[in-house]
Amino acid sequence: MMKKEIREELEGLGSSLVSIGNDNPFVVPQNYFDTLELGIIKTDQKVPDGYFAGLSDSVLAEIQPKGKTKVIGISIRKWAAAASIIGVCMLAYMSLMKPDVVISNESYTSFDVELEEALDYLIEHDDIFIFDAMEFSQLEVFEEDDEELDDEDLDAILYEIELEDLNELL
Amino acid sequence: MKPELTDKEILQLINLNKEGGFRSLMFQFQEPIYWHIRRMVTHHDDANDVVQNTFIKVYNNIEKFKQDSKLYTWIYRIATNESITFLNKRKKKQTEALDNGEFSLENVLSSDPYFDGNSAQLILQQAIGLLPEKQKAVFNLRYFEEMSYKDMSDVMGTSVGALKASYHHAVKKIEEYIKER
Repeated sequence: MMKKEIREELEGLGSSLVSIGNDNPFVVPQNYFDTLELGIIKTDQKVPDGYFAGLSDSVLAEIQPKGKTKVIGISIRKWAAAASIIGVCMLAYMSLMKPDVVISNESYTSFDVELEEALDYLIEHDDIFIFDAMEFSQLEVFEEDDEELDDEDLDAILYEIELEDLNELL
Repeated sequence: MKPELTDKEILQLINLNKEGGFRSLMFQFQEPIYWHIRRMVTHHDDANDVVQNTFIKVYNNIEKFKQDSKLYTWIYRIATNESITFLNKRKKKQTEALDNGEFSLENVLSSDPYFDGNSAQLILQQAIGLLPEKQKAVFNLRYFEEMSYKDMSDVMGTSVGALKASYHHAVKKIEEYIKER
């Protein structure tokens, strides 16, 4: 039943809408209002099951087709940065080592001197004791082989050394 | 008969227990709000979505309600805005459907199991469906919900004079549409 105020207003406008009336022509599913508030309170501030598990994939799937920019992985960037730092360090090291090493008034660049040449030089110059040169040579060999003398090796070496030679050294 | 709670009582209940108080609010307003939205968007499923969005906004913003208007006009305002937003989105989709001859309100309502109107009411709904969204809201609030212009002014944020003019124009448009049929 239309309210008097509304009906009179329509009649004042000369409208025939009064004859149609303002009854509600729509219906709702059975028990709809009984469950509406539960649905809303449940819906509020909740997400579907597994929503966050697939969120990153769906976001990436949206992003990738748009930009065809080549994506460089973080690990590659790390390696590139590390390689750059190593390169700079090597250049700095080489530039520091470049000045000649002075040995007995003659100059040699450290990278140019081979071990044998160094030994030859030491043998030719009496001011450096030959045993020191030999000891230096053995030390390099042991470092290369990453081994140490055990008791048997030591006994063998001592057996070969003459007692007189030992006396000279002591 | 539902026990009517005053705005003050509902807000006090919400202050004590937000979820419990909100249930009272919904119990009081869900049916009129649903029907307002349903008249705006026509389909039950769409109305259900808009009702959900409306009450979620009410729940999230109830602390911002300043009590300088009635609680029900504040909720109607949210519902009207949500409905208009929904209709604008749907209009974009329907423009394509109309171009393809897929959409017709007459066909949609005739096949809607939740529309129980007679042929005159069907034509009336078609005429209302052709109104601009805001004018449709004005017509529905006055014609179906019999709301006072003062409350309509709070809901729509428009002067009483402008609302009267809008309603009168809507009635004329609908009359013309019915005469042509």
